[in-house]
Amino acid sequence: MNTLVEVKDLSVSYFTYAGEVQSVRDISFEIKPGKTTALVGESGCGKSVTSKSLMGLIERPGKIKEGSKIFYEGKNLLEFTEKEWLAFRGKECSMIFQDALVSLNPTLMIGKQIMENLENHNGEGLSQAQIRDKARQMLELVGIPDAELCLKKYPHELSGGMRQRVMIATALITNPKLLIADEPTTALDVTIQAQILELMKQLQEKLGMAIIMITHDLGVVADIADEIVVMYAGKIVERGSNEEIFYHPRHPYTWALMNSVPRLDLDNKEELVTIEGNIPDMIHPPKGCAFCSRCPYAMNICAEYPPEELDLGEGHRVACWLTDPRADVSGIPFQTGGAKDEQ
Amino acid sequence: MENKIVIDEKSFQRMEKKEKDLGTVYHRSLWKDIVSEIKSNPAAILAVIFLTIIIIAALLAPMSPYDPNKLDLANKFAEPSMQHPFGCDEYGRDYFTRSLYGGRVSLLVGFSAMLVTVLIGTTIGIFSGYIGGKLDMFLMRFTDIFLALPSMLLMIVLNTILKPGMITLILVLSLFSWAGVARITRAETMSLKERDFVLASKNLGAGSLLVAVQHILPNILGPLIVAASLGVASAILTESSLSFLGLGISIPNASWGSMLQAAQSHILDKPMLAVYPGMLILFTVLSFNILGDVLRSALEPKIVK
Amino acid sequence: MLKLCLRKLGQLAIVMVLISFFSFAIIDLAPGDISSMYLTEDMSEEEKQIVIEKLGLDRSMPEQYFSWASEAIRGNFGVSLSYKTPVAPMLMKRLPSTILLMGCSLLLSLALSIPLGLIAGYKKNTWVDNLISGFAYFGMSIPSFYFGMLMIILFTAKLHILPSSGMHTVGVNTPLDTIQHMIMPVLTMALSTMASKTRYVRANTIGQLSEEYVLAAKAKGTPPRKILSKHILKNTLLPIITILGMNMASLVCGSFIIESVFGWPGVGSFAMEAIGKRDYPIIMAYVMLSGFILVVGNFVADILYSFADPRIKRGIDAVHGK
Repeated sequence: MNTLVEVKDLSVSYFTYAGEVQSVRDISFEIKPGKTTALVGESGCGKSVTSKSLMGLIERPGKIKEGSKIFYEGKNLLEFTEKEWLAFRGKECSMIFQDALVSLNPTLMIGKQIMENLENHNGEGLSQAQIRDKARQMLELVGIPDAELCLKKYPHELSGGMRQRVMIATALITNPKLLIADEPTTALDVTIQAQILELMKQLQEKLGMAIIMITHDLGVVADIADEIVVMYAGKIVERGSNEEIFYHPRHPYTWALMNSVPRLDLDNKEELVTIEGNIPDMIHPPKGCAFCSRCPYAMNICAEYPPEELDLGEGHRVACWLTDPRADVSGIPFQTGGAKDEQ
Repeated sequence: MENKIVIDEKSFQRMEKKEKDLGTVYHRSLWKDIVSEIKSNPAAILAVIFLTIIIIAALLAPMSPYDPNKLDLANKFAEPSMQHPFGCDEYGRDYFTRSLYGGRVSLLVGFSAMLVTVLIGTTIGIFSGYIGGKLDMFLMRFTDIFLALPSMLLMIVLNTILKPGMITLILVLSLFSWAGVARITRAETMSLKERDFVLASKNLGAGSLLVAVQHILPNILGPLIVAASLGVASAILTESSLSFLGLGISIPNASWGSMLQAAQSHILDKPMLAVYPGMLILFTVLSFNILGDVLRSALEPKIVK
Repeated sequence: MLKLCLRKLGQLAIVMVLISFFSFAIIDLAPGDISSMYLTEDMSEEEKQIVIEKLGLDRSMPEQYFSWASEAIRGNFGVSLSYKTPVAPMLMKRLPSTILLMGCSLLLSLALSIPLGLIAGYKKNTWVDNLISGFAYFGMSIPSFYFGMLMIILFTAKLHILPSSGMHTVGVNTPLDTIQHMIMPVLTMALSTMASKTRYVRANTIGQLSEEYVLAAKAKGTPPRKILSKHILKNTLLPIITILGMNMASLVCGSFIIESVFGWPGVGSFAMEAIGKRDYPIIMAYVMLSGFILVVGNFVADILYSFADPRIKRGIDAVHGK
């Protein structure tokens, strides 16, 4: 299977008055066409910054560092000219955001905002009427009743769920190959969340785009993701298929995440796991593993050197010193180590 | 950048955790914020330098060998020279000395007006915001009226009627500028009074007035300083306009505005008489405005993404 | 919608009354006897008494105010104490010149401040922005009359290309001549209002640029120029409408001073004379007139704003069940 996007050695820093905040530190991953990859992690772990890098939307005081590469269908995005970026954004890759109310221009009609995306990439020379028609079709596709009427409305006249559908319509009107969704359901009620996720799955089946889903909500991840990438403090700590990550996590952080979500099928006696502490100072990131200070199983070496990534097979990779055969694994409730565990 | 990894027997032993990692705290004091913001802005540095110079010069004005008001018709309209850096005006008075004395007056009026404005405005603003309810509504209507009035106009009317002089001028200037300060302080007070530390203090039994002064005042210091700097600028500007119209500081007393008024009649043949005091006004007001803006951005909460 | 208008009109009326009362009270409290300006030594006691009665100075202040107000509402602003002719027509005759001056300054300052502010905001912290912002700082910090004086020095004294005062050259009545006379006063007035407007537009633009919807528009591949014109312009301009209302104030007061500096025959310079002569009918009428322009300006700005912002307009319509 070929790769749609390949990120290599991406590092992004924000040069603020307080110092250089290293938001993303030397990460690499791949996106396959037509599949959904979830980017999971706490606030501040660098997932939003990563997605913005993919769109070339990192602005002052942020800077993508030298040596970073992002390959889209073989071309390095970071070498794009401004013109190439304009052609790329919205057409090859679209992005939807968390709060649709502030992501839509409050003084422009919905129709105009949806049409704008297609107008920017009107290679086929469609007329205004044709573009408008397409916009209406998109609205119908995302499940908005009275699409014609909706075109003339303003953002504040719609409900949260409808607005998010409008955002999706705007993003997909150009049939992009990649859709980046930055916490699209965080601001919505749970029932609406489920609807939007269902919609996205349907659209993916129909239109065949890859999706990068950025979220900190594991319920969302379980529902929609094929692949999961777990980030912490600007680094990728573990990645793998949906099943692997949920059922066979290898990294203490991943494990804690999975077990901090209340589950209906658990025994009453099992406690919820919490992760104490806060993310480290990203201006002076720790020299060893970033999770060290909060990890209940940290070893001395964890504070000294960052762990290298280990390939566990079938796309499951983890960066943790606990996988080393010499590690002290006493009392760890999950499987670590290099061998893939037997069921 | 692969360092050689050094492994000893201890490496893979479980780490002993001492205290919890507290995460990060970015703490910067008010003063440090201001200083660093100013240092990073060349215009601000120039502004501070200029203001220091002009204030010191104004304070030292009495050291000049010349009397700013004494007539000396022999020197009428003398050109600039070593003895008279700005030349002399139509009454032979040393223009440089007059400019310095004018600076004393203008700066004094500016600062005093600002002080009175801030005093009145802050008091009314804090009370209105803190006590709230009917008092707040009444005071705010009162404030709004003052904001809606055509201030310049009424200042002129007032000044015409009342006895000319510095005190009158200061009072009139303050009368029309306290409303803006009151608005700002009221807004800040209202947002602060709901904050936990104020509520906590109230619960501990501290008297209202004490709470207001102790807790709210230090937190509105930021916007107040900004308002103060811009207030001096505005006061000096207005004073010069009023004095120019013959109201306020009147000739023969020197203030930059009244000097401009006197210079107006000779504008076509002796233009420099108008240029000097005007430039002084311009640069002083400019410096205060720049300072006010820089202070405002220094005190804004910084967002680190 | 109508309800909003009526409420605003009510506020307008209240402010007008307050302004008039305030001014009246001040003038009345003035030390110095107004009557002394209009009495001469050789008048007999009865004649003096007649004059005093005629001036209404023998009644109490509220009574005087009330009689003035009741006349004023009917458009009768009394008779000038110095000119002995009705005040209202005198003011009306000079009003067009002032409106001309104010109107041109307003248009000029708008035409310049909007594009300058947009550019400065978009190119924040570049040399373009620094230049424009620096220029705005200067405009804000210079006394307007001083700038006028500088212009006179440059263009009249040194270069001899523009006349320094008046509205017409004696005997000449062409538009070109008027324009020549207008250039300096209009530029002077425009400068001071332009400075604060430019900074305001710039601040607004910067604020809008950091909004999420601009990011979303960029994510659609919208080119910068289109972002500025299609998205930012409208959202930036809306608040400017309210600023316009506030600018009426500075224009009104500015005209006062500028007319004096340039000897422009408008209501401003007329009022200046009247103040010097304590001619209170004229003063009152002028205060009411400028207060009126000021308040009406604010009112119109408020109404325009509610029309322009779809959130407010739709909100109002929704409340009224449209």
